[in-house]
Amino acid sequence: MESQLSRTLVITAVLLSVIGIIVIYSATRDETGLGMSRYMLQSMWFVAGIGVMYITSVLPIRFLQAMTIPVFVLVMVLLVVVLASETVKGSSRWIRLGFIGIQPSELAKIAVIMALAQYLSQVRTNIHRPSVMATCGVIAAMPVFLILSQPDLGTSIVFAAIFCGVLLWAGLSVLELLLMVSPLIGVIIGVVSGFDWVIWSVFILIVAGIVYLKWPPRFVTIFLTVTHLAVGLGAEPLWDSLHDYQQRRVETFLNPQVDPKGAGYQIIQSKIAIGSGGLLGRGFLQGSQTSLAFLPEQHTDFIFSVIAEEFGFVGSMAVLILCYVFILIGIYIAMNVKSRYQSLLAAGCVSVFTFHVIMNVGMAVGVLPIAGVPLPFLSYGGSFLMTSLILCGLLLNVWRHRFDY
Amino acid sequence: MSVGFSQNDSPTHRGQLYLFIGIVTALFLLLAVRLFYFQVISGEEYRAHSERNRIRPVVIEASRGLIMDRNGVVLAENWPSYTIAAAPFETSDETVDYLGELTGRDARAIRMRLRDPSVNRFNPIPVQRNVSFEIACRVEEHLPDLPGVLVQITPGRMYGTGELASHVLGYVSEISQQELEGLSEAGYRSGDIIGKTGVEKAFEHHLRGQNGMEFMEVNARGQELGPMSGMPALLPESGNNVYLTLDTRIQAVAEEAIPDSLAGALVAVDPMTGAVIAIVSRPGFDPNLFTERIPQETWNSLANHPLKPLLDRTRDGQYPPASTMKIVTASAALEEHLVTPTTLLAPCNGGYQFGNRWAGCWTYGHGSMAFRDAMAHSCDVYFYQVGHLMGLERWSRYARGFGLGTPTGFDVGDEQGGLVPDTDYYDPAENRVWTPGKILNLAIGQGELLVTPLQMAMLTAAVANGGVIYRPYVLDRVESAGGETVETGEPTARDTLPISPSTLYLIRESLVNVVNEGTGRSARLPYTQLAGKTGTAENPHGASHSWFVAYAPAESPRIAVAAIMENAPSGSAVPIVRRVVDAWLTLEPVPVAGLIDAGYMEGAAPSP
Repeated sequence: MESQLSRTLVITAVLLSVIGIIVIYSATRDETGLGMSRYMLQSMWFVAGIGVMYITSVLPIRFLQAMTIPVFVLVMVLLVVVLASETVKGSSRWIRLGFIGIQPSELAKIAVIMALAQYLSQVRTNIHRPSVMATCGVIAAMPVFLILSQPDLGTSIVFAAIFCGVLLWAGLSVLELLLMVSPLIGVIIGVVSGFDWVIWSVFILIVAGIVYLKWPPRFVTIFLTVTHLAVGLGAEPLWDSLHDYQQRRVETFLNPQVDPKGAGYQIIQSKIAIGSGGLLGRGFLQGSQTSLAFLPEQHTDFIFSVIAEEFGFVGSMAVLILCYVFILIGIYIAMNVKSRYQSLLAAGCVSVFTFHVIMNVGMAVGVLPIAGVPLPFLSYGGSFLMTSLILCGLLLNVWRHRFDY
Repeated sequence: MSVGFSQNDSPTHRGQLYLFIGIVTALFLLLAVRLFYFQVISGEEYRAHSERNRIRPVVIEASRGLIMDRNGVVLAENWPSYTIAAAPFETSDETVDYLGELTGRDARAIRMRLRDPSVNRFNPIPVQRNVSFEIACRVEEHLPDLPGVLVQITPGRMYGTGELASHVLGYVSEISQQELEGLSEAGYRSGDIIGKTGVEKAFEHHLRGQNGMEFMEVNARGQELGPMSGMPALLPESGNNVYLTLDTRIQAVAEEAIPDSLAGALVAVDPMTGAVIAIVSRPGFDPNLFTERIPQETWNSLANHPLKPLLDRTRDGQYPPASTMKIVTASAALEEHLVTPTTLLAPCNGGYQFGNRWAGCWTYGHGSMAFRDAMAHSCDVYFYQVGHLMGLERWSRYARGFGLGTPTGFDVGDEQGGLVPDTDYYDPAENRVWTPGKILNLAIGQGELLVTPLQMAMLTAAVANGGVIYRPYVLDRVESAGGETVETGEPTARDTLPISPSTLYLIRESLVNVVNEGTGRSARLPYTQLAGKTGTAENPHGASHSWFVAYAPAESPRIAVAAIMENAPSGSAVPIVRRVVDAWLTLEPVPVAGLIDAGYMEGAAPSP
């Protein structure tokens, strides 16, 4: 039973990765001018990633715990290096190592999961204490701060998903979580609504309602009152003091569709591609002859559209079900280990996968905004494939050591 | 199944974990339903859609803002031009070869641009701009054989006044690979037009506007069928119009005043604000040449021309200020009480013995002179002695105090700062050795000292306006295409002259005297009083340069001018400055419409 569970998990991951490589081949075979075809590169990353996944899965728990701080520090250093170094296509996300590029923001996901799990599993940390929540916030915010300045929206909000997922798993209630992030939500509501005070007041009433229901410690109430007042009064003058281009950058960040170059074009192309797949699809290599060739970034963010066009509803559902099975196994693992550390570690990994799948497919079918979030195992990109396999390795590790303390 | 971890296994928490699973499942179901709807229910419809057509996003280029002078005379505008564009993904190498054949251009260059991995493969990019009507027609006719290629009508830049103010206006040209790397974030793409120099570059962000995009239906053969229904075009936004402080009439007078055989520069400013009235570097060039791919021989003839027409002498030309520097040296001497206005120094007998060195005056002996006459006749011997009394440290402090040695902060940018040697500058380790005799040269504006005509204009303006060193500016205002004022150029005081009002009074009086009785006599105008100072800059490479700086009217100045004529006899710059001052002071206010009709634009349309 136990080994069967890990086997299913590995098979799911491998199946998804292989489908990814096949579809990347289909989506990019017309490209010229690259040294090596993308599907070959992806295959090499996959083979290397399987090795790394195996190593991750057998590391002793104590070793993982001991590595938390070194890994976190290393990732922060890499993020700073990226910020300081040259830019690729206007936004710097990469560190070049010979002919391969590494995205430290990907590794940061792993580092944050490890740090949160380690911190929250200490005996003395009580998740309901404001200071504990604040510390968790700082752990997740540090890499986000550096990634935001790159700027990379998709990767940034993954950290919000990790943060929410792990804290909820650790026992925080939804209302507590809402209170905690409410000032941030206030800022976003302000910018998006153009500082409409009616909308902001409604939001404040909701926050006040939650405060009344939960009745948090007095200084938390004071803190919330002060920050919300500061946001309410200070956000608009601060916003106005920004330069036009800075404002535009934030707006594009919050709502990538306002970018005229994107302007619904990708969504429409993606919808046409998915829809034209029909029940059974147009068949392998038949998709890109048509509208799909006009879909930008089809091998990364819109890989799901390629699958849906070439393999139809049957194919896209198969992929969706594989993802769902993978996530369910992850949740099962998180629920069935004895140690809090391992449970939280697994919950963090599950949060990443869930967020990525829902965001990516939601974007491809046009129900969520375009945020540049890739599909785990499937999308082209070595760093992300590696991250996905390492996270899978962590889940296997947790399951292998489920009786350990 | 034991849920989570024992110490935190409260019923509410357990409920929350199941809620977690529930939410995930619900989200997946939602996606599945959405997919079912798209693929199974409306699949046929979408398939028909995708089989029939594809969508090609085509950039609609924004019109660049106009550049006008202070009266609204148009200096740079837009002209419809033909541009051939190609979508990299759809355009095969054979098509590129055929296109090259049709247009007579090198197919390799087109291919390199299309196959650049950094371009978006699906958006057509311009491969040839400003093609002739004939070639555009030829390509248009052969479009069925050129899948992926399209002919667009795009706004092309036109400088209706030709060479007029060419250096300050600058020019536009296709964006270079280097520029593109820094600007792809700002929405520039390969083949775009960008301001390269002058106002076109400095106010690029105002002038550029925002490109639009239309979504064209394209059939399987790569031919456009028309706009895609349901996807309205994003209209381009024209760039902002830029009004300059220049007065085209004065600019034209100044450019004509400088003979074609001479190289030189002239800067005229409003001394009370720093607004530039005319800024001339001669010889000029025709900026229209740069808007299309410039032929190699044209480029060579410009780049190798002995008078260097591409050099903007007003900002990048650095010259010794020669005797015009005596304004600074005299100010320093009076302010430091090294001499009084009546102090007679040792007589000039055509030169001055300093140690074992004989420093000559520019002419045979002036005799023993006081300040006023020494300025009027520009006696070098007087200033050698003053310089010797002053010493390098004090002299360089005053030179900097008059705005020399640093860029003026001109809003067009890209200017040289000149050079004011000081005690730090003379460093034997750098092979710059100080000898006491050097101060004699510096005091009369020779030696290592270098200034730009722009700096001298602002120095003259500061003397004229009572001591304020303004930042020169050429941006009067920026208006949106709708006529709304977006930005206005404001006078900015950088500094004040480091001298007392009484010293400044003496200097101004002496400059009047230069024009009335001294070396600047040929600048006199019957109806007004000029004040100025001449200079003759020794040039180790050839004939000396002639300087003249002046302002008028002397009592309530309305214009300050600095001019230099390269390799020209002493005093050559004086009548040129006089003509500019005369033109400005006798200028009749003309209604804007009248001006445009007056012929500034006539016959200026370039051949496409």
